[in-house]
Amino acid sequence: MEGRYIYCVAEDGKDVSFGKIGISGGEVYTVHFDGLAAVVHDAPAVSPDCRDRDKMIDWAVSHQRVVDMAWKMFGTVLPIRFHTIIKGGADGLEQWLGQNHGELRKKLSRLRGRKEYGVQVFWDANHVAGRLADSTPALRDLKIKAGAGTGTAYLHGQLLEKALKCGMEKEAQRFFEDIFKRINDVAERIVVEEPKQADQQRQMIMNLSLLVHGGRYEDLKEELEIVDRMDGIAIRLTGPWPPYSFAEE
Amino acid sequence: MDIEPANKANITLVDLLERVLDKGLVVDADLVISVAGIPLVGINLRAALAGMETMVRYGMMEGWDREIRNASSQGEACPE
Repeated sequence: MEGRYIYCVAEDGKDVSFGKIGISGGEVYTVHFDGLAAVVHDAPAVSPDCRDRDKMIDWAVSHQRVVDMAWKMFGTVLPIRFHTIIKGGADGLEQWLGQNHGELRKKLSRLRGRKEYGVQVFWDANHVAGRLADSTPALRDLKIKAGAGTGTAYLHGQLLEKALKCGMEKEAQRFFEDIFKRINDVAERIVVEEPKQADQQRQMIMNLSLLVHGGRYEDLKEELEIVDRMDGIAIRLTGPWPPYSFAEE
Repeated sequence: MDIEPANKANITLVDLLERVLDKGLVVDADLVISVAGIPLVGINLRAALAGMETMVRYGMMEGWDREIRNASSQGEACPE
């Protein structure tokens, strides 16, 4: 069945050919309808093997490359979900663009002048635990007893571990609220993502996608620098990305 | 320390896939050619990725990883 693989939508009237940069070397070009441009390639008739991991990674990388290029070319793009093939030829696309014209324009205008960033917050778990144990009287007491070498040391060690775990959870919550508030003041929209596994020492406690207005980027950096200086905390910033996380809203 | 975005070489495949898969606008199902398995690609890849990141950290698969990163980050300037 004939179809067009669609990468993103932009607001533009001019025909653009991107060359053979699409998935599996597909020729990427634009299809227009009333001021909107869909960036597409002619989908191959064959079904891919979705279990072929390397191939799927290649596809995702190619997908990102095309969206990135369109983003640089048009300034504002609305990314479409990975591997969306719209039925039919140019007519099918025009029909879709026409039927969703108002909605697409509205989404695009909400993304104009904004960029997506990824912010990951890590903490050094041992460092934070050590600081907590030293600064909380009850924990300090347990720590001394646990290290005393007496018969109850083991029991106190267990109690300390439990109390620390609880204290760490509260501490993580406290950091989360403080950092979230700082970022929320400068970002227009925030998506809270699942923290990923880092390693034993360096745990990811927050994983956020932000939509930031161009004029607020310096403010964002300023807040992130404050966060990065917090005891035991480190920040990782990625981007700018096309607004993948904000296409649905 | 001055916060700057991770430079291109430090953007990992995980960062890229995290953004590209399972995000973006969903088009009405009746207009789309559905391909068996595609909805699972994100899940499958993410399951494989944790292990891959570790391999990269220990120096394996580095060339491959670099190649993917380069491929994914062509061009420098970003639009305002």
